[in-house]
Amino acid sequence: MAVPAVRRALPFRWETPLGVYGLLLLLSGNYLGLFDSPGERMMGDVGRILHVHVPAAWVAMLAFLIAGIAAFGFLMSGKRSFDSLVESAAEVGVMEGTLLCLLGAIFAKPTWGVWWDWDPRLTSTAVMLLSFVGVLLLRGVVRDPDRRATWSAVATLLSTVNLPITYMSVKWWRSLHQDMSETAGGSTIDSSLRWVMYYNTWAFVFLTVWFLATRWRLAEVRAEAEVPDALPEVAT
Amino acid sequence: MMVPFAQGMGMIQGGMGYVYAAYVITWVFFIGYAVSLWSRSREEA
Repeated sequence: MAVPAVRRALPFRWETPLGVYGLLLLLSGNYLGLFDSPGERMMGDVGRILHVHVPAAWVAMLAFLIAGIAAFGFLMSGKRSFDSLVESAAEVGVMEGTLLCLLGAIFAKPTWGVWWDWDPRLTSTAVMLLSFVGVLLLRGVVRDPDRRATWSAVATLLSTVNLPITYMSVKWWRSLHQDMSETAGGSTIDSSLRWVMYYNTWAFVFLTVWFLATRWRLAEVRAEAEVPDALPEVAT
Repeated sequence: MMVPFAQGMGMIQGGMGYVYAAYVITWVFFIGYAVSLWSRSREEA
């Protein structure tokens, strides 16, 4: 499972322009969300939080899904690059999942009157987030690279089971959290708000790709450093 | 007597402080994580 040295030597980091583009989109998207978008009919100005809260939820779920796919890929192929992607996507997902929960709390206080409620959507999100925190902790304590990769891949797959549970929680149980707004059947969000939310979503997506690729390169460099040097040839 | 349809008919007033807090936290997270990646990349280089 040696890591080809060419990866770290790539002269052009393709993700950097995407990250810069994502930052510009975030800057303009946040301006639109704060000053240009109309207030929501019932929530008023507080509805502007949706323009960052919903994208945070989507990219956190996306990062966790990528971690799950990479874990499956590692278990099937044994390729170290998949393990690096597990590490990268789990960390980015935890960062964005934490942001999601904080934004949700800020949204909940003026709309529900509480910062947090043990509602099915919030609880399942917290379980999902904590399970991926567990994956990162597991990676931190296992020193042997092969064991770390295998064990964390299994833990990541188990954590990924939380994704459909979290997504469907508002359907499966009575929830204080609102139902899904965007489904294959259409949207319940007015178009004047929806396009701003998607504008910000693209910013989050580009930034997530930047984070994932940069963190993946870092994991690859560390993985390469862990590969033991070849033994010297025995003189005959 | 409570009129059911009267519930939820109003609009939440104010709250821009929460909105600004949400957007600031978003930037703090993203910039903070980007700086963290940059810092770790420099250490590994």
